[in-house]
Amino acid sequence: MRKSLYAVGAVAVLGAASVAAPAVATETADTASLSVLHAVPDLTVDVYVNGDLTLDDFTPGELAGPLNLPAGDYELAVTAADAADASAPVIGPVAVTLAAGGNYTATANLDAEGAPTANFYTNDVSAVEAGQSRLTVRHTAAAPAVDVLAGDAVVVENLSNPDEATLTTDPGTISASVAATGTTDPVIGPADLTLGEGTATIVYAWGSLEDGNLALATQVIEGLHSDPAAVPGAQAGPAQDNTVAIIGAGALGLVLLSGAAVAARVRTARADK
Amino acid sequence: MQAPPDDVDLPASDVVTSGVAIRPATGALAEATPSPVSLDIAGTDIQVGVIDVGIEEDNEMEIPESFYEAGWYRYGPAPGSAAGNAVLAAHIDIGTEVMPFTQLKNVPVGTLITVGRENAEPVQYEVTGVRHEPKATLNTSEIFQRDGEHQLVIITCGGDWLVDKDDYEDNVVLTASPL
Repeated sequence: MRKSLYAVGAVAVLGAASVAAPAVATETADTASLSVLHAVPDLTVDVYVNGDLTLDDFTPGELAGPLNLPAGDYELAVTAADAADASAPVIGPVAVTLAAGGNYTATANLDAEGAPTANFYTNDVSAVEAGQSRLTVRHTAAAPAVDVLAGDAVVVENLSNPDEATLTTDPGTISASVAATGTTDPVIGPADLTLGEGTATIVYAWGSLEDGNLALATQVIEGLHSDPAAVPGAQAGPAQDNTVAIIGAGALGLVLLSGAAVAARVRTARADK
Repeated sequence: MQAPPDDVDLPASDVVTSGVAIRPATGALAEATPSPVSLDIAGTDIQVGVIDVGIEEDNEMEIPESFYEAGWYRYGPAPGSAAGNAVLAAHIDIGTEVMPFTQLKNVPVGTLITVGRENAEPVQYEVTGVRHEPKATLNTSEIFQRDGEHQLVIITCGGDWLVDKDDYEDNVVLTASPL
């Protein structure tokens, strides 16, 4: 199934429900969450954390974690898959600091010129306003600056490797594509991206323009939702209902109401309570 | 647009390497739960349609205009979910109080509730309680909680009409457990 999704457009951003439960944001006092994304095409690697083999035979397009690690300083190294240890990394070693309660993604990816490198991103896991979704786009591809389009609308402009952009948007499915900045001809996509309410969706553009293998990878962090502030369960009756019988009942009720309540009815006819 | 190399051997399911879950970085979709389409509370006039609702610009839950429709908070769990509260809400009619949801406050514990669902079997609940909660202190994080034991929560307005606030004092909150 996954292969067929790739075949559709190398942007298999849907259908992951059958793949794995998405990462759930965790709030712990002393630990940090670290995810690792492999975004170097054609290269199977091992990942070492502080010299210990942590991810074995990690393949492109895969997301690992989140690892819950004690806050502190770490050294990440990416080696060839058959390496005996971390002494001869192909990327790194990279020194990173994980703060307590922080949420991070380390990526092994190509720089704008196509050389393997690593990036370290801090994920925004603050609460998302009720009814909204957070979308972050990260440029981790060997490609010039890009624009990101949702349908025909440019939502992120002139994003360069390794920069990121974050916006808050209505939840739902968008048709996302990536084009060279200032153009609309997609170099990736269009692909359907489902942005869940109360979640953070992080989209990585990765691969190489020159090699023709640009693709999208996505990471979803759930559990960032907020609750509605109130439930306005009343409104003026007759003014907003078309049923004749109800209008009659309402008119009768109106006659019986006190002056104060009548005034209230008039004011509330235009707004829910 | 070319597909990634064919030699990328993608696993059929989560592969656990050194205790770390690895999966294709292909995002996630919430498991699709059927939307509710009808609500029937036995022994009452609350036999109404249900529509999906979201949030208003003032950060309040959206409520259908019609007194004969309830809104389901579509961002939370749906009726029939495994966990969390499925929240439905509807208007009562200010002053007149003759519309179906004015009866919500009087629904006895044990009453059968049937929720019809789109392209799925109906689900049934039994009322576990009806309470008044002052709007000023409504515990929205409890009412809208998305985890924990699954419940159906039905909300409308009630209590005294507060002239100075131009609003009812309370929300009426019915809770029900799945049968």
